[in-house]
Amino acid sequence: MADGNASSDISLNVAVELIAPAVEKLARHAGIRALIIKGPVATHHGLRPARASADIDVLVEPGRAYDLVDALEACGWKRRPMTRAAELAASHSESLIHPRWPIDIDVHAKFPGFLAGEPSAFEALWRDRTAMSLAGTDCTVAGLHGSIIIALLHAIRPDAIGHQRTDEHRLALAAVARMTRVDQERFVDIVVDSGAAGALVGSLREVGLTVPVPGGQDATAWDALVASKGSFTGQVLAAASTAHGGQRVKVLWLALWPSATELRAAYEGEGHVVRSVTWLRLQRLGRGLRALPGALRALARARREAKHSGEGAQ
Amino acid sequence: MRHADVAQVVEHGTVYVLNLGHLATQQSPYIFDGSSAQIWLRIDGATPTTRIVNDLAEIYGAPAVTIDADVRAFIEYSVAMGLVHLDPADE
Repeated sequence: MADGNASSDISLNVAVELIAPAVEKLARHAGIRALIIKGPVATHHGLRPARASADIDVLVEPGRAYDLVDALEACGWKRRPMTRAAELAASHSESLIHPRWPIDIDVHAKFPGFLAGEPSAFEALWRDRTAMSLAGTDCTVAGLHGSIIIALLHAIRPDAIGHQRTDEHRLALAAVARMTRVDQERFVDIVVDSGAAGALVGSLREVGLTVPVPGGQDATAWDALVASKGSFTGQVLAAASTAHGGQRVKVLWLALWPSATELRAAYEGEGHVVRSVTWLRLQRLGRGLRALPGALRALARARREAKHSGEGAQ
Repeated sequence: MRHADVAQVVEHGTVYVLNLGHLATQQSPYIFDGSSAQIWLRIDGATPTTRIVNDLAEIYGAPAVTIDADVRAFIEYSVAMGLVHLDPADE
Protein backbone atom coordinates (compact mmCIF):
# COMPACT_ATOMS: atom_id res chain seq x y z
CA MET A 1 0.00 0.00 0.00
CA ALA A 2 3.00 2.32 0.00
CA ASP A 3 3.90 4.46 -2.94
CA GLY A 4 6.48 3.22 -5.39
CA ASN A 5 4.05 1.82 -7.92
CA ALA A 6 4.87 1.49 -11.59
CA SER A 7 2.98 3.59 -14.13
CA SER A 8 1.00 0.51 -15.24
CA ASP A 9 -0.71 0.39 -11.82
CA ILE A 10 -2.47 3.68 -12.48
CA SER A 11 -5.10 4.20 -15.18
CA LEU A 12 -5.00 7.25 -17.42
CA ASN A 13 -8.18 8.63 -15.84
CA VAL A 14 -6.81 8.32 -12.31
CA ALA A 15 -3.50 9.86 -13.37
CA VAL A 16 -5.16 12.86 -15.01
CA GLU A 17 -7.37 13.48 -11.97
CA LEU A 18 -4.44 13.32 -9.56
CA ILE A 19 -1.86 15.20 -11.60
CA ALA A 20 -4.11 18.23 -12.21
CA PRO A 21 -4.22 19.16 -8.49
CA ALA A 22 -0.50 18.39 -8.19
CA VAL A 23 0.26 20.90 -10.96
CA GLU A 24 -2.14 23.38 -9.36
CA LYS A 25 -0.40 22.96 -6.00
CA LEU A 26 3.10 23.45 -7.40
CA ALA A 27 2.03 26.48 -9.45
CA ARG A 28 0.32 28.13 -6.48
CA HIS A 29 3.28 27.43 -4.22
CA ALA A 30 5.60 29.14 -6.73
CA GLY A 31 3.19 32.05 -7.28
CA ILE A 32 2.60 31.09 -10.91
CA ARG A 33 -0.77 31.63 -12.57
CA ALA A 34 -1.62 28.45 -14.45
CA LEU A 35 -4.76 27.14 -16.12
CA ILE A 36 -5.56 23.49 -16.70
CA ILE A 37 -6.91 23.27 -20.26
CA LYS A 38 -8.29 20.65 -22.69
CA GLY A 39 -8.94 17.02 -21.67
CA PRO A 40 -11.04 16.83 -18.49
CA VAL A 41 -11.76 20.56 -18.65
CA ALA A 42 -13.22 20.25 -22.15
CA THR A 43 -15.29 17.28 -20.97
CA HIS A 44 -16.48 19.29 -17.94
CA HIS A 45 -17.72 22.04 -20.27
CA GLY A 46 -19.43 19.52 -22.60
CA LEU A 47 -16.96 20.14 -25.42
CA ARG A 48 -15.59 16.63 -25.60
CA PRO A 49 -17.01 13.18 -24.86
CA ALA A 50 -15.61 11.60 -21.70
CA ARG A 51 -12.54 9.65 -22.75
CA ALA A 52 -9.12 8.92 -21.34
CA SER A 53 -6.42 11.52 -21.93
CA ALA A 54 -2.77 10.61 -22.33
CA ASP A 55 -1.66 13.95 -20.98
CA ILE A 56 -2.63 16.91 -18.87
CA ASP A 57 -2.26 20.34 -20.44
CA VAL A 58 -1.47 23.45 -18.49
CA LEU A 59 -1.23 26.97 -19.89
CA VAL A 60 1.13 29.16 -17.88
CA GLU A 61 1.33 32.92 -17.58
CA PRO A 62 3.94 34.51 -19.85
CA GLY A 63 7.50 34.13 -18.68
CA ARG A 64 6.77 31.54 -15.98
CA ALA A 65 6.49 28.28 -17.94
CA TYR A 66 10.05 27.23 -17.14
CA ASP A 67 9.55 28.04 -13.46
CA LEU A 68 6.75 25.48 -13.43
CA VAL A 69 8.89 23.02 -15.39
CA ASP A 70 11.62 23.49 -12.74
CA ALA A 71 9.11 22.82 -9.95
CA LEU A 72 7.95 19.66 -11.71
CA GLU A 73 11.53 18.52 -12.26
CA ALA A 74 12.09 18.83 -8.51
CA CYS A 75 9.30 16.25 -8.18
CA GLY A 76 10.89 13.74 -10.53
CA TRP A 77 9.38 14.81 -13.86
CA LYS A 78 11.77 14.98 -16.80
CA ARG A 79 11.56 16.76 -20.13
CA ARG A 80 10.64 14.39 -22.95
CA PRO A 81 13.69 14.18 -25.20
CA MET A 82 13.35 15.91 -28.57
CA THR A 83 15.73 17.49 -31.03
CA ARG A 84 16.41 21.20 -30.52
CA ALA A 85 14.98 21.88 -33.98
CA ALA A 86 11.72 20.22 -32.95
CA GLU A 87 11.81 22.25 -29.72
CA LEU A 88 12.23 25.49 -31.63
CA ALA A 89 9.63 24.57 -34.23
CA ALA A 90 7.08 23.53 -31.60
CA SER A 91 8.20 26.07 -29.02
CA HIS A 92 4.73 26.44 -27.56
CA SER A 93 5.00 23.60 -25.05
CA GLU A 94 7.29 21.35 -23.03
CA SER A 95 6.31 17.72 -22.44
CA LEU A 96 7.34 16.11 -19.17
CA ILE A 97 7.33 12.45 -18.27
CA HIS A 98 7.75 10.49 -15.04
CA PRO A 99 8.60 6.79 -14.73
CA ARG A 100 5.78 6.21 -12.21
CA TRP A 101 3.03 7.99 -14.13
CA PRO A 102 1.40 6.88 -17.40
CA ILE A 103 0.71 10.40 -18.69
CA ASP A 104 2.68 13.40 -19.90
CA ILE A 105 2.34 16.89 -18.47
CA ASP A 106 2.33 19.41 -21.33
CA VAL A 107 3.34 22.83 -20.04
CA HIS A 108 2.26 25.41 -22.60
CA ALA A 109 4.04 28.76 -22.74
CA LYS A 110 1.61 29.64 -25.52
CA PHE A 111 -1.01 27.93 -27.64
CA PRO A 112 -0.95 27.88 -31.45
CA GLY A 113 -3.53 30.17 -33.05
CA PHE A 114 -3.50 33.02 -30.52
CA LEU A 115 -2.00 35.61 -32.81
CA ALA A 116 -1.85 38.67 -30.54
CA GLY A 117 0.98 37.30 -28.42
CA GLU A 118 1.09 35.37 -25.17
CA PRO A 119 0.26 38.16 -22.69
CA SER A 120 -3.03 39.08 -24.41
CA ALA A 121 -4.03 35.44 -24.83
CA PHE A 122 -3.26 34.44 -21.26
CA GLU A 123 -4.89 37.48 -19.66
CA ALA A 124 -8.10 36.98 -21.67
CA LEU A 125 -8.24 33.29 -20.74
CA TRP A 126 -7.34 34.01 -17.12
CA ARG A 127 -10.21 36.49 -16.77
CA ASP A 128 -12.54 33.73 -18.01
CA ARG A 129 -11.15 31.06 -15.62
CA THR A 130 -13.29 28.93 -13.36
CA ALA A 131 -12.79 26.28 -10.66
CA MET A 132 -13.29 22.58 -11.21
CA SER A 133 -13.11 19.81 -8.63
CA LEU A 134 -10.54 17.17 -9.52
CA ALA A 135 -9.62 14.40 -7.08
CA GLY A 136 -11.56 16.24 -4.38
CA THR A 137 -9.62 19.50 -4.74
CA ASP A 138 -10.44 22.77 -6.50
CA CYS A 139 -8.34 23.38 -9.59
CA THR A 140 -8.12 26.56 -11.64
CA VAL A 141 -9.20 25.71 -15.17
CA ALA A 142 -10.10 27.49 -18.38
CA GLY A 143 -13.67 28.77 -18.37
CA LEU A 144 -16.32 27.81 -20.91
CA HIS A 145 -15.53 30.60 -23.36
CA GLY A 146 -11.79 30.09 -23.18
CA SER A 147 -12.26 26.33 -23.51
CA ILE A 148 -14.38 26.78 -26.63
CA ILE A 149 -11.66 28.93 -28.20
CA ILE A 150 -8.99 26.36 -27.31
CA ALA A 151 -11.17 23.50 -28.60
CA LEU A 152 -11.73 25.29 -31.91
CA LEU A 153 -8.04 26.11 -32.30
CA HIS A 154 -7.19 22.53 -31.41
CA ALA A 155 -9.73 21.20 -33.92
CA ILE A 156 -8.42 23.28 -36.82
CA ARG A 157 -4.77 22.71 -35.95
CA PRO A 158 -2.78 21.28 -38.83
CA ASP A 159 -2.15 17.84 -37.35
CA ALA A 160 -5.67 17.21 -35.99
CA ILE A 161 -6.88 13.67 -36.57
CA GLY A 162 -9.88 13.59 -38.91
CA HIS A 163 -12.70 12.43 -36.62
CA GLN A 164 -11.40 14.37 -33.63
CA ARG A 165 -11.26 17.49 -35.74
CA THR A 166 -14.89 17.08 -36.77
CA ASP A 167 -16.21 16.13 -33.32
CA GLU A 168 -14.35 18.85 -31.42
CA HIS A 169 -15.26 21.46 -34.00
CA ARG A 170 -18.93 20.44 -34.01
CA LEU A 171 -19.27 20.34 -30.22
CA ALA A 172 -17.50 23.67 -29.75
CA LEU A 173 -19.60 25.42 -32.38
CA ALA A 174 -22.78 23.87 -30.93
CA ALA A 175 -21.86 25.36 -27.56
CA VAL A 176 -21.48 28.79 -29.20
CA ALA A 177 -24.82 28.39 -30.98
CA ARG A 178 -26.54 27.56 -27.65
CA MET A 179 -25.34 30.76 -25.98
CA THR A 180 -27.61 33.70 -25.36
CA ARG A 181 -26.97 36.81 -27.41
CA VAL A 182 -25.30 38.49 -24.43
CA ASP A 183 -23.04 35.49 -23.87
CA GLN A 184 -22.13 35.40 -27.55
CA GLU A 185 -21.10 39.04 -27.38
CA ARG A 186 -18.95 38.31 -24.36
CA PHE A 187 -17.50 35.28 -26.14
CA VAL A 188 -16.59 37.39 -29.20
CA ASP A 189 -14.86 39.89 -26.90
CA ILE A 190 -12.70 37.09 -25.50
CA VAL A 191 -11.96 35.77 -28.99
CA VAL A 192 -10.75 39.23 -30.02
CA ASP A 193 -8.90 40.03 -26.77
CA SER A 194 -7.10 36.68 -26.80
CA GLY A 195 -5.94 37.18 -30.38
CA ALA A 196 -7.76 34.14 -31.75
CA ALA A 197 -9.97 36.10 -34.14
CA GLY A 198 -7.67 35.73 -37.14
CA ALA A 199 -7.57 31.94 -36.80
CA LEU A 200 -11.26 31.45 -35.90
CA VAL A 201 -13.03 33.96 -38.13
CA GLY A 202 -13.97 31.23 -40.64
CA SER A 203 -15.18 28.73 -38.03
CA LEU A 204 -17.34 31.28 -36.20
CA ARG A 205 -18.91 32.42 -39.46
CA GLU A 206 -20.44 28.91 -39.62
CA VAL A 207 -22.66 29.79 -36.62
CA GLY A 208 -23.46 33.28 -37.84
CA LEU A 209 -20.93 35.15 -35.71
CA THR A 210 -18.98 37.95 -37.29
CA VAL A 211 -15.69 38.52 -35.54
CA PRO A 212 -13.59 41.62 -36.17
CA VAL A 213 -9.94 40.79 -36.84
CA PRO A 214 -7.74 43.55 -35.43
CA GLY A 215 -4.72 44.62 -37.46
CA GLY A 216 -1.25 43.62 -36.32
CA GLN A 217 -2.12 39.98 -35.72
CA ASP A 218 0.18 38.24 -38.18
CA ALA A 219 -1.58 35.08 -39.28
CA THR A 220 1.12 34.14 -41.81
CA ALA A 221 2.86 31.53 -39.65
CA TRP A 222 -0.47 30.03 -38.51
CA ASP A 223 -1.86 29.88 -42.07
CA ALA A 224 1.37 28.35 -43.35
CA LEU A 225 1.23 25.73 -40.62
CA VAL A 226 -2.38 24.85 -41.41
CA ALA A 227 -1.70 24.70 -45.13
CA SER A 228 1.33 22.43 -44.68
CA LYS A 229 -0.88 20.03 -42.67
CA GLY A 230 1.47 20.21 -39.69
CA SER A 231 4.42 18.46 -41.32
CA PHE A 232 7.70 18.92 -39.45
CA THR A 233 9.06 20.79 -42.48
CA GLY A 234 6.02 23.06 -42.37
CA GLN A 235 6.55 23.68 -38.65
CA VAL A 236 10.19 24.55 -39.22
CA LEU A 237 9.39 26.94 -42.07
CA ALA A 238 6.59 28.55 -40.06
CA ALA A 239 8.93 29.00 -37.08
CA ALA A 240 11.66 30.36 -39.36
CA SER A 241 9.22 32.78 -41.01
CA THR A 242 8.53 34.51 -37.71
CA ALA A 243 12.12 34.37 -36.42
CA HIS A 244 14.67 37.07 -37.16
CA GLY A 245 18.34 37.11 -38.12
CA GLY A 246 20.46 34.60 -36.27
CA GLN A 247 17.49 32.83 -34.74
CA ARG A 248 16.13 32.03 -38.21
CA VAL A 249 19.49 30.55 -39.28
CA LYS A 250 19.60 28.57 -36.02
CA VAL A 251 16.14 27.06 -36.59
CA LEU A 252 17.01 26.00 -40.13
CA TRP A 253 20.46 24.65 -39.22
CA LEU A 254 19.20 22.62 -36.26
CA ALA A 255 16.45 21.19 -38.45
CA LEU A 256 18.96 20.17 -41.08
CA TRP A 257 21.70 18.88 -38.78
CA PRO A 258 20.68 18.01 -35.21
CA SER A 259 23.43 16.56 -33.01
CA ALA A 260 23.79 12.78 -32.94
CA THR A 261 23.02 12.73 -29.21
CA GLU A 262 19.73 14.60 -29.45
CA LEU A 263 18.68 12.73 -32.59
CA ARG A 264 19.26 9.40 -30.88
CA ALA A 265 17.50 10.54 -27.68
CA ALA A 266 14.48 11.81 -29.60
CA TYR A 267 14.00 8.60 -31.58
CA GLU A 268 14.66 6.33 -28.63
CA GLY A 269 12.24 8.43 -26.58
CA GLU A 270 9.56 7.51 -29.12
CA GLY A 271 10.34 3.83 -28.60
CA HIS A 272 12.42 3.27 -31.77
CA VAL A 273 15.62 1.26 -31.80
CA VAL A 274 18.42 3.36 -33.28
CA ARG A 275 21.08 1.37 -35.10
CA SER A 276 22.65 4.11 -37.20
CA VAL A 277 22.52 7.88 -36.73
CA THR A 278 23.64 8.37 -40.33
CA TRP A 279 20.67 6.34 -41.53
CA LEU A 280 18.37 8.49 -39.35
CA ARG A 281 19.84 11.66 -40.82
CA LEU A 282 19.29 10.40 -44.38
CA GLN A 283 15.72 9.39 -43.59
CA ARG A 284 14.97 12.80 -42.04
CA LEU A 285 16.56 14.61 -44.94
CA GLY A 286 14.56 12.55 -47.44
CA ARG A 287 11.28 13.25 -45.63
CA GLY A 288 12.15 16.93 -45.35
CA LEU A 289 12.98 17.28 -49.02
CA ARG A 290 9.78 15.52 -50.05
CA ALA A 291 7.70 17.85 -47.86
CA LEU A 292 9.63 21.01 -48.78
CA PRO A 293 7.84 22.02 -52.01
CA GLY A 294 4.40 21.75 -50.39
CA ALA A 295 5.53 23.61 -47.27
CA LEU A 296 7.09 26.40 -49.36
CA ARG A 297 3.92 26.72 -51.45
CA ALA A 298 1.86 26.88 -48.23
CA LEU A 299 4.09 29.60 -46.79
CA ALA A 300 3.98 31.64 -50.02
CA ARG A 301 0.20 31.30 -50.19
CA ALA A 302 -0.16 32.39 -46.56
CA ARG A 303 2.07 35.41 -47.20
CA ARG A 304 0.05 36.39 -50.30
CA GLU A 305 -3.21 36.12 -48.36
CA ALA A 306 -1.80 38.12 -45.44
CA LYS A 307 -0.65 40.81 -47.86
CA HIS A 308 -4.05 40.94 -49.59
CA SER A 309 -5.99 41.09 -46.34
CA GLY A 310 -3.61 43.82 -45.13
CA GLU A 311 -4.22 45.83 -48.30
CA GLY A 312 -7.98 45.23 -47.96
CA ALA A 313 -7.95 46.56 -44.43
CA GLN A 314 -6.25 49.82 -45.45
CA MET B 1 -8.88 13.18 9.81
CA ARG B 2 -7.39 13.38 6.33
CA HIS B 3 -4.97 16.19 5.65
CA ALA B 4 -6.44 18.96 3.47
CA ASP B 5 -3.51 18.67 1.06
CA VAL B 6 -4.48 15.21 -0.12
CA ALA B 7 -5.96 14.40 -3.53
CA GLN B 8 -7.97 11.23 -3.81
CA VAL B 9 -9.57 9.20 -6.59
CA VAL B 10 -11.58 6.01 -6.15
CA GLU B 11 -11.70 3.63 -9.10
CA HIS B 12 -13.23 0.14 -8.95
CA GLY B 13 -12.98 0.03 -5.17
CA THR B 14 -9.31 1.00 -5.12
CA VAL B 15 -8.32 4.33 -3.62
CA TYR B 16 -5.45 6.37 -5.09
CA VAL B 17 -4.13 9.02 -2.73
CA LEU B 18 -1.57 11.67 -3.66
CA ASN B 19 0.05 13.74 -0.93
CA LEU B 20 0.10 17.23 -2.46
CA GLY B 21 2.05 18.61 0.49
CA HIS B 22 5.02 16.33 -0.13
CA LEU B 23 5.22 15.99 -3.92
CA ALA B 24 9.00 16.11 -4.01
CA THR B 25 9.44 13.15 -1.66
CA GLN B 26 6.18 11.26 -2.34
CA GLN B 27 6.07 11.41 -6.13
CA SER B 28 3.44 8.81 -6.84
CA PRO B 29 0.13 7.92 -5.22
CA TYR B 30 -0.53 5.51 -2.39
CA ILE B 31 -2.76 2.73 -3.63
CA PHE B 32 -5.18 1.36 -1.04
CA ASP B 33 -7.36 -1.62 -1.84
CA GLY B 34 -9.25 -4.23 0.17
CA SER B 35 -9.29 -3.50 3.89
CA SER B 36 -6.91 -0.54 3.61
CA ALA B 37 -9.34 1.14 1.21
CA GLN B 38 -12.19 0.44 3.64
CA ILE B 39 -10.26 2.05 6.48
CA TRP B 40 -9.09 5.02 4.42
CA LEU B 41 -12.60 5.84 3.21
CA ARG B 42 -13.80 5.94 6.83
CA ILE B 43 -11.09 8.35 7.98
CA ASP B 44 -13.29 11.36 7.39
CA GLY B 45 -13.00 13.34 10.60
CA ALA B 46 -16.45 12.22 11.70
CA THR B 47 -16.10 8.47 12.16
CA PRO B 48 -14.29 7.48 15.42
CA THR B 49 -11.67 4.73 15.28
CA THR B 50 -13.84 2.38 17.35
CA ARG B 51 -16.61 2.67 14.76
CA ILE B 52 -14.13 1.98 11.92
CA VAL B 53 -12.98 -1.15 13.80
CA ASN B 54 -16.54 -2.35 14.32
CA ASP B 55 -17.44 -1.70 10.66
CA LEU B 56 -14.49 -3.72 9.40
CA ALA B 57 -15.08 -6.51 11.90
CA GLU B 58 -18.57 -6.81 10.49
CA ILE B 59 -17.47 -6.65 6.84
CA TYR B 60 -14.71 -9.25 7.22
CA GLY B 61 -16.31 -11.40 9.95
CA ALA B 62 -13.17 -11.12 12.06
CA PRO B 63 -12.74 -10.46 15.81
CA ALA B 64 -12.71 -6.74 16.65
CA VAL B 65 -9.50 -7.24 18.66
CA THR B 66 -7.59 -8.37 15.57
CA ILE B 67 -9.09 -5.68 13.36
CA ASP B 68 -8.34 -3.03 16.00
CA ALA B 69 -4.59 -3.61 15.71
CA ASP B 70 -4.71 -3.45 11.89
CA VAL B 71 -6.78 -0.28 11.86
CA ARG B 72 -4.53 1.48 14.36
CA ALA B 73 -1.41 0.38 12.44
CA PHE B 74 -2.88 1.75 9.21
CA ILE B 75 -3.78 5.05 10.86
CA GLU B 76 -0.32 5.35 12.42
CA TYR B 77 1.24 4.72 9.02
CA SER B 78 -1.01 7.36 7.40
CA VAL B 79 -0.10 9.88 10.11
CA ALA B 80 3.61 9.16 9.61
CA MET B 81 3.23 9.73 5.86
CA GLY B 82 1.48 13.07 6.48
CA LEU B 83 -1.79 11.90 4.96
CA VAL B 84 -3.78 12.09 8.18
CA HIS B 85 -3.69 14.09 11.39
CA LEU B 86 -5.32 12.87 14.55
CA ASP B 87 -8.01 14.76 16.43
CA PRO B 88 -9.12 13.74 19.94
CA ALA B 89 -12.56 13.14 18.40
CA ASP B 90 -11.08 10.41 16.16
CA GLU B 91 -10.89 8.11 19.17
